Amino acid sequence: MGTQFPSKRGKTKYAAYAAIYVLVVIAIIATANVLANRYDKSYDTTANKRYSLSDQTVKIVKGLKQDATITYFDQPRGFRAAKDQLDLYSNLSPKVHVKYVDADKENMLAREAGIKNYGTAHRSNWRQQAGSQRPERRGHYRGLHSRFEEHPPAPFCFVTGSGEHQIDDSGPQRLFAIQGIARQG
Amino acid sequence: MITMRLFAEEKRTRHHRNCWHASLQLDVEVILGKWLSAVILYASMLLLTAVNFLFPFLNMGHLGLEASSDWLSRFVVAGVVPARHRNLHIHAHKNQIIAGAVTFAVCLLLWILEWVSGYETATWARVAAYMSVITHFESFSKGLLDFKDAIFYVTLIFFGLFLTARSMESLRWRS
Repeated sequence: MGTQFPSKRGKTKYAAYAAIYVLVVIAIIATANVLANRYDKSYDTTANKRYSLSDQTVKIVKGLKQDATITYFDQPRGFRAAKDQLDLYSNLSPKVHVKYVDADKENMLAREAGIKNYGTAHRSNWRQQAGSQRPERRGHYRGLHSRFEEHPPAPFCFVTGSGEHQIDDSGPQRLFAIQGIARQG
Repeated sequence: MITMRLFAEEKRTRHHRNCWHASLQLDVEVILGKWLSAVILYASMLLLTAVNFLFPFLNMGHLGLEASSDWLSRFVVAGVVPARHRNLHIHAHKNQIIAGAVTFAVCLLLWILEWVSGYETATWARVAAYMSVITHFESFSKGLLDFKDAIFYVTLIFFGLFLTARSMESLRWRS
């Protein structure tokens, strides 16, 4: 008993069926990835919980009542390095939005936000919601984890160690500038 | 190279027709079997390097877990994901060399897609970067087990196997 091969019309029908089938599966896969991004969870296996936010930060971010935006200014090649950390905030609450801005292309925007160094994260609408009337603080992102406190002044923590920039180094990629801002309180 | 002749040889010798004549509906079983065999062979080679992580895993808790996460991600990115592509493209052509070259090109493309994010921030660039295996590799290599990255790899593997099944199925009505 041999296999019955379809006619030309049958082949067209099979091709259409296969194409629709593939498109449906692509749509399902895309949806699954979008949902996974939207409701992302991660488990930090590092001993010192290097990629986890503090309990206090988690509490404040989850308690946000209005939308808040973190705008990250850098060259595009630096976005990926920041994304891991900034996504931690956006994953905590749907009210947190993270925007990545090419500081070279959108230099007017960067100037308006007062950005002077690459790799700078600018937070808007955070402090007002946390009960403070003080103006927004700009924090240099690399090597720096700023915690969002309910009561000012917010502490800045400089991480030192292998691969981190030194806080007293000067230059476009260093933390010298933010050191001064941090000291102003 | 491990999987170069998984389907190509079968297609060249028209062995797959035997399955049809025997009225076998074993596309899924055949694909999964061949894919798993390639993955297991690769895993058995990589398993030798796992000995290096055994000591820190048993003695240093989290540090070992962190290192194991890196090792596991290397296994997935370097072995499991490309293996399904090899299945697909080797199946697409009966010449092993051409199939191997196409597979290499696709794997390379999945590797370098991430580069566009260094030059462009538009939506299409972000989508392209998202489709790169490297983008999702980084969190694992740092010791962060990320749900979205795991989903990406699972769906990528599933999609490859699904396309292979469709390709194999199409042989029935294209012949």
